[in-house]
Amino acid sequence: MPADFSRFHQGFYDEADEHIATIVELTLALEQGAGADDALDALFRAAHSIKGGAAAFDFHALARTTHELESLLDKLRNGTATFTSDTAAAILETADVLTSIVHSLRAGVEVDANLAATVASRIAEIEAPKSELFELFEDAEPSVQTDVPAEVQSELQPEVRPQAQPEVQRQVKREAQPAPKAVPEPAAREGTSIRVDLRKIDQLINVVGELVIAHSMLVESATGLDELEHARLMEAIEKVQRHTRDLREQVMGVRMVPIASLFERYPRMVRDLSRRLGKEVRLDVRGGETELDKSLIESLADPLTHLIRNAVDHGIESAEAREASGKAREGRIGLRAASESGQIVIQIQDDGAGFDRDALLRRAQSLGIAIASDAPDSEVWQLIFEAGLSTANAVTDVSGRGVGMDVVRQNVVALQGSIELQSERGAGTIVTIRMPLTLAILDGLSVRVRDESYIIPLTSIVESIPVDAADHKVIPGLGTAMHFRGNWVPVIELARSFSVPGTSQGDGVAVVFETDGKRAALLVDSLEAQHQVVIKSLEQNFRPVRGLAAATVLGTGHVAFILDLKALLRMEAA
Amino acid sequence: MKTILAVDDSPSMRDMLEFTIRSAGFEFVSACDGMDALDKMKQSPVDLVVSDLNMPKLDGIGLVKSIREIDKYRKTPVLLLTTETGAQMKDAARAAGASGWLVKPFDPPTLVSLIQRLA
Repeated sequence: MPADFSRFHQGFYDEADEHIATIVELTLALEQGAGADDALDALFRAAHSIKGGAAAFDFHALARTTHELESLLDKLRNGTATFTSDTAAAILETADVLTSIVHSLRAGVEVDANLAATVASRIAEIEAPKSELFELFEDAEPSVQTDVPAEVQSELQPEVRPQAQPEVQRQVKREAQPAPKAVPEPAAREGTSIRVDLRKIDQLINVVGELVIAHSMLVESATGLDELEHARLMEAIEKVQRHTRDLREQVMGVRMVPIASLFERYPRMVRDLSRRLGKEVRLDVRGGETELDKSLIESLADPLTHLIRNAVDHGIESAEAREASGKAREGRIGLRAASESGQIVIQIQDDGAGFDRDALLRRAQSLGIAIASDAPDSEVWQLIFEAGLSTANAVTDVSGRGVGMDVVRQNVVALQGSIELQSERGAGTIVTIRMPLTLAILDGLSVRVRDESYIIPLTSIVESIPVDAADHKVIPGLGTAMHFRGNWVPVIELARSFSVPGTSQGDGVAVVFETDGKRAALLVDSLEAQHQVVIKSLEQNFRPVRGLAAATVLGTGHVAFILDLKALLRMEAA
Repeated sequence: MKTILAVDDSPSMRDMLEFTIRSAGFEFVSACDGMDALDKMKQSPVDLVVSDLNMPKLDGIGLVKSIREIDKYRKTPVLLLTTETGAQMKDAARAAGASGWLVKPFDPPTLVSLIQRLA
C-alpha cells in the first residue's frame, strides 16, 4: 500500500481498539444471557469493521484473524454453531490476539505470525465438534440458502446474509418485540462523533484560559470608569464575560468522557480472575455515563484495577465458604460512578469477608502507629492505606486483603482525590473515591500575603478565622501551634515559608485546612476572593517549586501561585 | 410467551430443565413420562416439547409418534434428549417425526438456542 496512507493508520488503530472493546463487552453480555440476535449482529459488525480496515491497509495478520472470528460469528448468527461459555472464551482469546496485533502495528514492530494461526485453530476447535452433541433434522428448520458461498456474500452484502429465519420474518419479529435491553448498545461510539487529538483540545483550553485572563484585565481596567458615560463598553464587557464563561464550560466539556470507557475493562478482568481463582463473582457496573476529564480517567485505571482485583482476590470468599456462612454462592462486586456536588464519586463495593477491625488495630499498634483501641471506625479503616500496614503479610492473613493500598491512595491523592474505606466483618467492604471533575480548573480562595496573592484549593479548607497574635504560640519541639476546636494544630506562616518581603497587609487570618486527614492553619494577611482559576503548570512554564502546586493568572494580570498543601505540611514537619 | 413442555422421569433433570428454560424467558410445564405429557398437552396448548428418550409407560420415540397423530400438534417441534448418539437412535427419532436431538447431559446455552430456533 502506498506510504501516503500511513497518516490514516493512527485513526484506524484507535477505531480497532474500540471495536475490540465492543467485542469483549458484547461477548460478556452474551455469556450472561443478553439477547442473542442483536448482540451477535453488533459483534459481527465490529469484527467486520476491523477486517475491512485491515484489508485496506494491508495488515494481513489482522485481516486473517478477524476473518476467522467473523466466520465463527456468522455460524453463531445463522445457528450452525451455538454460543457456549467455550465460545465466549474463544472470542475473548481472539480479542486478546487482536489487541496484541494492533499494539504491534502501532509500535511499528513485526506482528507475530503465529498469533493468527493460533486463533484459526482455536476457532476451528470450537466450530468442529458441535455436530456430535446435537442435530436438527433438516425438514424441521426453515430452509437455509447456501448456493452463494458465505464468504462472497459477507463481502458483498453484509445486510442480506442467509439467516436461519428468512430476513422478512426476522425483521417483523424484531419490530414486534422490542430489542432485549440487556445488550449494552455502544451507540455513543457511532454516528456523529469525530476523533480529535487530546493535545488539540488542551491547546484550545489554554487559549480559553488566556481569554478568561484577558477578560479579567478588561474588567480591571474599566473599574473606576463612569458607568453612564461608558455604558456601551460596560455592556460589551458583560457580554464578553458571559460568552467567555460559556465558552470555557463548553470547551471543558469536550475533555469530559463517560467513565464507561474505563469501566468496560473490568467485567473481563473480573471474569478471568474469578475463573482462575475458582470463585463465582459477578461484577455489577453502574453509572458508566458519568463524565470525567479524559486525563483523570486514564490515571484512575491503575488504582481501580488494583481495588477490584483485591475485591475478587481477597474480598470475595470461595463459593463453599460463602455457602457455609449463609451467603449466595456468587459474590457480588459493585462498581459505581456518580457525580455529586461538583465531584465524581466512585465506589467499589463487595459483599465479601470484610476486615477484622481488632486484628487491624493490633497490627497497627504493633507497628507503632498511634491509634487508640476505641478509635472511630473511620480512623481504623483508614489504617489500611498506611504503607507499612497494607504491605504486611500479617494483614493479608488476618484481614484478607492484599497489598499496595498505600500506592492506591497515593495515586488517588496525586489526582486531587480522596479515598476512604468502610468495612464490616463478614458483610463486605466499600471503598469510596472522590475526584474533582477536572484538573484544568480549580475552585480556590485567593489570600493576600504581603504584596503577593496565593490560591488555596477550596475543597481542603475547613474554616477561616481571624486571629491576633495571642491565639497561637510556640510550643517547644512542635513549632508554632494554634488552638482550634479543642485541638492544637500547627500554624504555617506563609510569609515565612516563602520569604515574602514587605509588611503585613491586614489583621491576619488563619485558614484551617485538612489534607490526608491532617489539619493545619495557614497564617495569611487577609482573604481576597473565591474564584475558579485556570491551572498553569509550573513544570511546563517555569520549574517545580516546593510548596506550590501550580500557578494561575489573576484578573489583575498578576500571577498567583496555587498552594500545594501536602507539601507545605511536609515542609513544616521537616 | 411460548410454552415449553419438558418430559423426563428424573425429578432432578426436570428441575434443571425448568431452571434453564424459565431463565431463557419461556413458560414451563413438565411431565414425568410420555403418557403424562400427552395428558398435559391435552389440558393446555404447548409450543415445543423437550423429551427424554428412555421413560416408563411411554418412551420418547413413542411420545413423538403419538404427538404427530394429534392434529394441532402435527408440526409442533419435539427435541429428544438422549445419552446415545448412534445412527440407530437418530434414524428412529427422525422416522418418528422428532425435530432434532440433543445429547444428555445437555449444555444449557445449546438447549436454549435450539429452543429459540424452533419455538
